[in-house]
Amino acid sequence: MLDLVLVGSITNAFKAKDILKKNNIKTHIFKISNKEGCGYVVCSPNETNQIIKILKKNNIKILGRFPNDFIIS
Amino acid sequence: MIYLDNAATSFPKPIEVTNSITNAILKNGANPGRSGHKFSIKTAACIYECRKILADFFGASGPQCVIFTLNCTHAINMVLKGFLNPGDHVVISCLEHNSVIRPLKNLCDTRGIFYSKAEVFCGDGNKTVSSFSNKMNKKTKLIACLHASNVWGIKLPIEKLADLAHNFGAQILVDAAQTAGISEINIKKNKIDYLCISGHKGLYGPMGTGVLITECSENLNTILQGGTGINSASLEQPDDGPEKFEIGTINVPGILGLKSGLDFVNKIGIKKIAEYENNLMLYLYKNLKDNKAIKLYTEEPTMSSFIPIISFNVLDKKSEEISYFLDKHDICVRSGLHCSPMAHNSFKTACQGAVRISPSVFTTQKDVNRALELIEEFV
Repeated sequence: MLDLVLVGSITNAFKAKDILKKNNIKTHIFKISNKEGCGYVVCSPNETNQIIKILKKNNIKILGRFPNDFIIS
Repeated sequence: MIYLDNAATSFPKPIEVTNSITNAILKNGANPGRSGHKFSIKTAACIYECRKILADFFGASGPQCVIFTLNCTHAINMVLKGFLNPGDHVVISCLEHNSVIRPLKNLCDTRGIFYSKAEVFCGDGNKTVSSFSNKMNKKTKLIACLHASNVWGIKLPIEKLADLAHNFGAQILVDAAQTAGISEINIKKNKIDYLCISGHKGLYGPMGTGVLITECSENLNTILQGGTGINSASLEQPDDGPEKFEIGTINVPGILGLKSGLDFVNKIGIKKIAEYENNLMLYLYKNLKDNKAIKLYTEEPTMSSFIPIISFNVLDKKSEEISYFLDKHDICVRSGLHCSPMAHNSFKTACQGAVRISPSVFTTQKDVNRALELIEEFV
């Protein structure tokens, strides 16, 4: 299951992408909206738990995790 | 035309800057950080690149420390009004620009802030620091000072002032409008908490660009609220990234122009630019000094104590008379008070003003010679 990791602003999304790239994880940036609000997410074919762990270690705030039920990977 | 008013804004801009702005309008026309389509994300990626370059240029931890503003004054207002609380005390220098004085005066009137002015001793950093220290007290929360005077070119010892601020448990805001691109500034090495810069002077970006660089944005309340592109359902300003402070649509063509300006400065090198401009102003100073009718107000400018700006007067003539005469001969300079009445009060030129000459990397020896020729003719 490819979950979407909500990181908030587009700057945070690009920063997350840079950090994950340094960890050899390729990501895509998308924007989603739901009842919590809207924001930018990173999505990757890799294990989402691993992505969240790396981002938290690098002080990127994780605002949510959403099932990827509409983005084609 | 000979343009010698680069302290107001640099002109001309490098062709790469013009091309970037045109390119931004033609090819990066989507609103970054708003939509989810590829075009918006592509524009956002370019903006992010500019943040990274600025962070590197000024020694910040990363792009999250870079907040785009309309200009340096906007950045200064963001800090003063976002940081200070009723009863707080601020120490400033006696040379400050209205971009610091006016918001502070407003905060005194509306929020019960207090401020004190410290004297600046040109070429004696320790004496200047002592002067600031004598004005500090237990309510001092901030030192807010320019890095260099836009009238007299005098540089302040900002790293020593940062140490002073921190020893008192306060922070430091540095107005680097005149020094970004001309002096090496590293917010970590120089221990600057809030660095406010103009995009359109020494960094050769277009007007309408400024930056606040800070590792302490969590200390700042927002002074403006509005759309940031995320959390639209919430009525609260999102507490997220530099975008928290960048409400509404940002100046994409301006920022991408600024990015090219930074590339231009990086290509030549700050040291080389500073040496070149300083040599021109030293030459100007030495030639003006020989003329008994010319009043100069500082000692001979050295790179350690001055940035390349010279202000002068001719006898007791109003400074506007000289600038008007030069303008008739297509030489652009600025006269009057330069939005810095305090700087003029400090040098007793408040009535007369002064004529300011400020070069850029595009100013030539020929330009300076022509200006000298005409000043002689006026005299």
